[in-house]
Amino acid sequence: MTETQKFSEIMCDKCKGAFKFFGESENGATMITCALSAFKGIFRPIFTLNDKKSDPETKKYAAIRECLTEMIAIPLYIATPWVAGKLVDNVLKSSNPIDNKRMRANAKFIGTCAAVLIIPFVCNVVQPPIMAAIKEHEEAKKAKKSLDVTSVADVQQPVVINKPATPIVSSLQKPVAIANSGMRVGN
Amino acid sequence: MSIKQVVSNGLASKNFNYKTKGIMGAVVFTTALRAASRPVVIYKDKKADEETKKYTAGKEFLYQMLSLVLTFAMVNPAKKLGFSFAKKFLKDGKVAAEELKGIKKFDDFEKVNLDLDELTSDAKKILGKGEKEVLSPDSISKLKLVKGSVELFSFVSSIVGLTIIAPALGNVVLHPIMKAVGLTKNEPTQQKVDTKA
Repeated sequence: MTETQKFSEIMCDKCKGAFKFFGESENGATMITCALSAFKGIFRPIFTLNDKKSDPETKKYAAIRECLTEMIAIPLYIATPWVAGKLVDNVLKSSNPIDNKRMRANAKFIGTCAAVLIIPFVCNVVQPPIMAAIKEHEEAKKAKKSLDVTSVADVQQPVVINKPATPIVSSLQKPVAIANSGMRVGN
Repeated sequence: MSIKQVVSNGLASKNFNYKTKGIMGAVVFTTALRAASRPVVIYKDKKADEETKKYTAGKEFLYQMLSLVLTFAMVNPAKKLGFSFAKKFLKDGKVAAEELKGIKKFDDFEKVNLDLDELTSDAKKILGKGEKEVLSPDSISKLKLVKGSVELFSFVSSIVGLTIIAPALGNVVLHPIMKAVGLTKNEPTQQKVDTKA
């Protein structure tokens, strides 16, 4: 046996657990839809934020929306097939175990498809208040920031009294220190 | 026949199970469903203007079509790779020489894998089994390892295709297509319905 063959055999032994899991699992549809949602929740916002054609504010809101959609989708992709499977087990159970297995698999698949249809409606209900709250928070931040900049500009200028004084005296007269000097950066 | 019996018979359908089986079946059907339903939901949004709705619905439809094309392009070859990997290197694949003797190509394995608990007549011919023969639990578990390899490769290729390649390609490919079709409005800053999942 060559070294490559030995390595392949070792890798296969290690992968056997994964192969057994995927081969015997009845929840393939649930697993793939949840995994896709999880990865989409990470990668789509990244791609959205890297889109050079949109403006920064739009990109930010779009990325948050996309992440929120996938976070809403994952529990639905788990719940609906589970409910469908339980319905089959408790209500529609057949005497034939092979029929039961097939019914459960088909019911779970239909549950996954139902989740695909339900998700946009749940997003319609859940997303707007969250996005509105985020927008409100951002606007409050911006307002506070612009207020800080305005208050810095409004500070009274130091008063320098021009007395006909000797050069030594005039050089000792320093302007009044500005209470709020510099721009406040951040919060 | 009661409603319960009708539903049970429908759910126990072999043909439905064969067509929706496995990870690829789930991805293809859910993507197709998204392509059909989400543009409709977007278009029914009463708060957005007509042009915005047309643009967003069109973009969503094109994106899901792109995902569907990528699924077929990536998952089919990945399944064949998974089968070859399992057949060549999987230890039990070698030990299961008896089971895999008749399964020369991936298409044969697909016919056998349709239902390992209740083999079709095609599957029995491929496996060299008689009409009334069934597979032993040991043979079933070995063939499930091969199936697991196919499913794992499908799983990984679906994720790579739909979560990395599709968004990246979408940024490049969708804008020109939408321009060609006449949907060129700038993306709205806020949409009530976000159905990009």
